[in-house]
Amino acid sequence: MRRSAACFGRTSTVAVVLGAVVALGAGCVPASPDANTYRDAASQSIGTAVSELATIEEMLRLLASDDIMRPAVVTQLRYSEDGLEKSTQWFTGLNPPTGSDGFGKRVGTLLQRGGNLLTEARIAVHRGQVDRYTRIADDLKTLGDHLDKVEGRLS
Amino acid sequence: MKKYLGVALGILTAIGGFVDIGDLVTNAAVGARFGLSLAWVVVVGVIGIIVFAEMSGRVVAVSGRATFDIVRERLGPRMGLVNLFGSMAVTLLTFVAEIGGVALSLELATSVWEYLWVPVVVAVVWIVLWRVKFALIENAFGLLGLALVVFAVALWQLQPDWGHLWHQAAGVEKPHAEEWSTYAYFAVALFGAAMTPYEVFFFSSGGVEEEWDAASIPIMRANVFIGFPLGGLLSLSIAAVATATLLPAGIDVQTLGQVGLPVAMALGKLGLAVAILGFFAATFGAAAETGLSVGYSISQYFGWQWGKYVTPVQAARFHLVVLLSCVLAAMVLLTTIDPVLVTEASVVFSSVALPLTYLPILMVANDPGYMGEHRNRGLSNALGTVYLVLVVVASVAALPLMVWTKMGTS
Repeated sequence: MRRSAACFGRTSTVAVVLGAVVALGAGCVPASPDANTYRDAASQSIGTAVSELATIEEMLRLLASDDIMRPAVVTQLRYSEDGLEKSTQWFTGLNPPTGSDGFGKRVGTLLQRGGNLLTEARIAVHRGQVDRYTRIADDLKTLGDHLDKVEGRLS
Repeated sequence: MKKYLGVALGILTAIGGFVDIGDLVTNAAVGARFGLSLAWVVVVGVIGIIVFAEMSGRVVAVSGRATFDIVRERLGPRMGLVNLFGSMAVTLLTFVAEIGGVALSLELATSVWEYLWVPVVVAVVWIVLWRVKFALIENAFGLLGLALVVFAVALWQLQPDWGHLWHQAAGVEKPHAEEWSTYAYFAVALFGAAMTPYEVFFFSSGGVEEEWDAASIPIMRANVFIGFPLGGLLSLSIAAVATATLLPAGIDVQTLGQVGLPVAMALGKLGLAVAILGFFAATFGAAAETGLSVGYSISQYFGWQWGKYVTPVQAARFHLVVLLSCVLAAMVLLTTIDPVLVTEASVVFSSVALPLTYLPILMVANDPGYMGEHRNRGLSNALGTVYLVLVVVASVAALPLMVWTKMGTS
């Protein structure tokens, strides 16, 4: 009797664990949002990109005029690159609703351009190429402004 | 003269020790997103911590016993254990966040990956808690924490539109792009950051360490009534510089580097260096306070010898609890969890646990058996009751708001 109770306990534990695994697994599959949710997701990813690009733009300008410590910029670059990459992967991992393929591709491309610019900034800072900081900062600003406009149209 | 110097030192350390990783991150994040429209929450939170810190300080001064020492006796072992479990879970989470904050500060200064700093930081924190005298811990990090005054200097240097800032701070208006639910979530987070439970545990146990008696009440009150509001002004200046610089640039605060960025914009390299020193001191001091608070509260509940006023051998179990907390913090952080995320969670869970901390203090401070002629008077009770309602509302609302707003990201 005690043995069967123990078996039942073990079975129910296994069932709960399996249920949790299935539920979590289902959560890991790229979601298929409706058009509104997809636009919200795009807006959120663009917001992240705008924030990361603006942060690095400001830091590069400060670094160009020797107004910030290099380790602080290197550290922030690591976080900004990582944050934007995760956000881009999350957005591009969503299944766009019918009719949003072009929009999704445009936003994905812009986010990836942001990631590339941050990588360029990281390499320039690593190499100490001070003369490139201002140009990269200008590029970050241009892209950030563009993303800001896209986000403005979404909200 | 010595007495006045002691009072001044107490006030200065109260200011410098007021801000911790939760205040740094939450105030900057709120300033960058909502401007100063949530400044009223900081004011409400600072008044709340003043009310309850004064009560718990008075309880210590009169009874010679710290919070959890009395909580168990007053609430009984079972309710006391529930209280201990909830409060310690939050304090441990805060401890993890503070250790992470120290590692992040060192990473900012050196660019060496934060997780490489974690074992070093944990080892140093443990050695400090084991070997260094209480007064030195409190005073050294409290005074170094004054480096955060650089945020107020940066605000002045930025020359913002003061009228606009005042208008934002005076009105309860959320930015148009934000939802009310998100506004409420950040209000609860700011409230939790200002009224973090460990501050009271540390304050009351520190009173026992420093052997307060009824004659210490005026000095304790000077620290609380002057030091805490000035500490609150530091919190507001962190939010204000973020409002002046990060909000217009569309920068959301996700890292400690972004918290310090406005200082670099206003004061350059030297200003940022001072800010990083302030981050380090504030988080290290708070790590020491939270680590000690865990040891204090658990030891007080179980009736073990505790404190830094006796040798480690005499308070072996207290020091073992502190050591285990350090090991646990290292293990959690070395999972590579983001310390800023831990911080955001800790301030929200602080809100959830607030009634567990503040209800017993209000009860004990009203008990003539413990307090005699020093029991709460009308104003203390009125404020205490109003704040108890507020902390219950914040506690009930915290988790639903966290889920509803996806931790403020929606």
